[in-house]
Amino acid sequence: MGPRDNGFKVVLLGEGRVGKTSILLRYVKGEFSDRQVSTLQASYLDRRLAVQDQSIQLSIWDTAGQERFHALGPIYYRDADGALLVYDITDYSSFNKVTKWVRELRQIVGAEICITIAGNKIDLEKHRAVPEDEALDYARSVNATHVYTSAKQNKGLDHAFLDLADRMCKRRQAQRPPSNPSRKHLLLVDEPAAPPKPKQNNCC
Amino acid sequence: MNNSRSQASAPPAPPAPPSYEDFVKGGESGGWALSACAADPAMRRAFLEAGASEGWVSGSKLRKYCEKEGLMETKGGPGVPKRALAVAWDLADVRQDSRGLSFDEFCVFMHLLCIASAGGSLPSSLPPELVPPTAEEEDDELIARALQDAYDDEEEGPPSAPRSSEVTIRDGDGGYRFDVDALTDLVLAQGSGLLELDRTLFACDEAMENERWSPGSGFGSEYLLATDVEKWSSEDGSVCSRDRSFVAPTRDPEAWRLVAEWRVHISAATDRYGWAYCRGLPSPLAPGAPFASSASPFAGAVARRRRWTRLYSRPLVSAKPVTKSTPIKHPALLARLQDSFKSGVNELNRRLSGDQIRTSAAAAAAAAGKKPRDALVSSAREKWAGAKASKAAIQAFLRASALVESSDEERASRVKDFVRSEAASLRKDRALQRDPQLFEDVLEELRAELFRGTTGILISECEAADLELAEKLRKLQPVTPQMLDAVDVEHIEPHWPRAVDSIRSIGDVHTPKRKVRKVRAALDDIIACLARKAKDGEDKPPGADDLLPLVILATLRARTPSLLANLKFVELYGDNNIGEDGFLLTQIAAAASFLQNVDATQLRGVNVDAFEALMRGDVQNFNTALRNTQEQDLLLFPTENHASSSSSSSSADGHRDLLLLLQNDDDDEEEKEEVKEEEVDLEAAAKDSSRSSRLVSQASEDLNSPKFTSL
Repeated sequence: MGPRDNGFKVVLLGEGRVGKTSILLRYVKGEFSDRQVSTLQASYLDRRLAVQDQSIQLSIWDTAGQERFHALGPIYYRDADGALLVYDITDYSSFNKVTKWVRELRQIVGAEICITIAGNKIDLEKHRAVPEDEALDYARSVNATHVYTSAKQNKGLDHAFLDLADRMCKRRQAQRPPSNPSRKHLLLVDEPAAPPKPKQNNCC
Repeated sequence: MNNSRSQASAPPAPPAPPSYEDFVKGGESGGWALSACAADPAMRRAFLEAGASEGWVSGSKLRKYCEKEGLMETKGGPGVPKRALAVAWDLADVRQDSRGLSFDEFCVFMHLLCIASAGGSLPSSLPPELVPPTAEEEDDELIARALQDAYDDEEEGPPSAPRSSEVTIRDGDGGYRFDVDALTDLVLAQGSGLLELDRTLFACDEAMENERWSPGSGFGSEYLLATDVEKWSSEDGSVCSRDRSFVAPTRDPEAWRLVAEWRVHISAATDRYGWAYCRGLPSPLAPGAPFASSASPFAGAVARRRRWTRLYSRPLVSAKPVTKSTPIKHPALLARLQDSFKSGVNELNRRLSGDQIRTSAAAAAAAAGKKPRDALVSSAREKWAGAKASKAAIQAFLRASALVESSDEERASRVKDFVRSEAASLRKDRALQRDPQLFEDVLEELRAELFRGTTGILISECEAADLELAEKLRKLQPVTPQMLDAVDVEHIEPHWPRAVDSIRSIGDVHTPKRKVRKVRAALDDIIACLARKAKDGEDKPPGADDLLPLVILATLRARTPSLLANLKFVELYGDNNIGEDGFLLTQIAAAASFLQNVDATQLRGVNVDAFEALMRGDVQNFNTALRNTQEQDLLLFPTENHASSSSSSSSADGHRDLLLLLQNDDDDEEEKEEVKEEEVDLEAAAKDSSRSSRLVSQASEDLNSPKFTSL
């Protein structure tokens, strides 16, 4: 089995300062700010996930969000299986930017790429600037999943990535010639439940 | 001549000293009387003991030697009177130059000394039969040339085979006739001797013939020193033998057809017999680059070598036909081969030819029953060193495939197929089966061998873009971190210079893995720079937003030679383009792409005028335009602090970034720097301007320096 068989590339796109890096950091360590995070992990992350009774390897690439680097997008999302488009719910322009990314991805990468749109900073709900209906409707219209996340409170991240991984797996199986039709029942398996344990210990 | 004292100290001496002629009576008629004496190794040893260096012994050294050996008369002791020594010296120093005595002159001196010590009287002038033959010319070059002429007059005709034979190469519409010499040249220029021409593989064996100069006798292989190579050797001296067939064993007649027997390779760098003259020969104990050589004898040329070549051919049969090989048409062939391949391939070839000979020698050793393989080899390097078959396969593959015209991608798929098949044959090795890590390491050694120096050959489609990028990077040097919104880390030692250096040296390593390792090292150092810059309490590792500007800056400063070709190479030949390696590579690729396309709108504080000046290489106008913009900005935003003052971008995005930057700066610096804010700003401004002016002056030096005019 080659690396490509169960390896998936996910790019993280979004305007500067919407919290892409925080999402990645949060996801890698399960904590908002961790001093022990190794150097590159704030911009690149390898994560093993169990999806559909198989183990897959998620490679998450952070991208530079500044406008001046916009033209470099294709270099980053080439060969990508999925994209997590992040906007800041308190900043309408960052949502606009997401729509721009979606158009571009569909145009350049095509329909095969799985897109998840993430409204970040849900902890700042009171400052919301992007209407919920608009965001959800838009996501539906471009065949993308919409999730809410808070890197600060570690909300929605695991779900966002698991859902994306699941959809990428399905798509890859659909593309593959129907050599193994046994995989019709999709089983969603959570990661080994390691994280909760230390917390319990702390409580006791 | 007053020899009274000498007579006194030589008791049995007859009253009338025998004349010089008495001593040499019956000497050989004609020729140098002392050639037998000069051929005696003892004499050569004495010459060295006397302190000869580079073929000459000085008067003072010789005097000391005579004293030590008891040849010179001391007070009351036996020996030759000093006066006689002086006369002997005068007579022996035929050339009368300041260097002292050469070996043949030394022979004359010793001869005269013998006569004097036996009580003979010395002649007033040197008898003709004692004049060394080589001393008849005044100038060394003339001497050497005379030697050469003498050699030329010898019977030994130039290489035995007639030199006008031709080879016919078949093609769809007829055949091309090749002069064997031209073909040999081509094969030699191609690689240690393999060249594919229209489905025929030509192979060239090489062996160097070595000779050393012996005074009085000329050049000969019998004068080689114990530390020299033997008569026949590989170019670097690592393989040598008295027998040429050991250096280059005969090829399997079933596979190879002999096109042309051994012949001397004659070129502009050799004389008309193929000899090249040099100051020394390689030693088998320390094989290495041969001495520089000259096509004609020169003073100090104590050795000479010539290259023999033998040409074989075989039809190219491969398991699967090579994809889309365009038939090579003759007229342009020579020119194209020589132009497009010679330069890039020469280095590779030189190395490969050494390997080739070593390999064939190893094959010969194996045939002779000495098994080079050892079951206990442990390290990958040793293991690889033993994998002669793979090495030979690589060389054959490289040389056979280098010529086939195809796109970089097609070439890559063939190279990868080759690596796979070699990996499969390596896997047959038991030790490698047991140890997967060792197997990987050996495979990496294989790649290193395969890819060493071949990036330029395997990737041929980036050349124009690379030249263009190099030119642009040169012009962009005055760009400052501020213009890229990059954190200014260029003063952080040792991380920043090391990061730049890692990126610069991507091309110095040869496998995809090792190139990526360079990139990783660079990014680690850049991240370390950022960590150093980060304020206390905020050591969150940098995300792509912070990283990319610095990667761009480092790539700009590094000016990696053939950057794009290197990137494409890793892309095509690396095997993990979506994993971390791929990510690392993409950082540099993104930086390169940004730099290729960068214009005024993407550089903060640089307006169109300034950018155009920069692209013209007009640093002065660039600075002027830059200053104007900054002054305007300062007027527009009088309260901004310097670090982010120079936004000329009118885009809403740029402005928002700027405001955010300002907010952040305010947050961070509010508490500490409230009081001294103004001072600090002034200082920072002064620093910045001095730094940028330094960079600018550096850059203008660059622009003026001659090495760039050649671009």
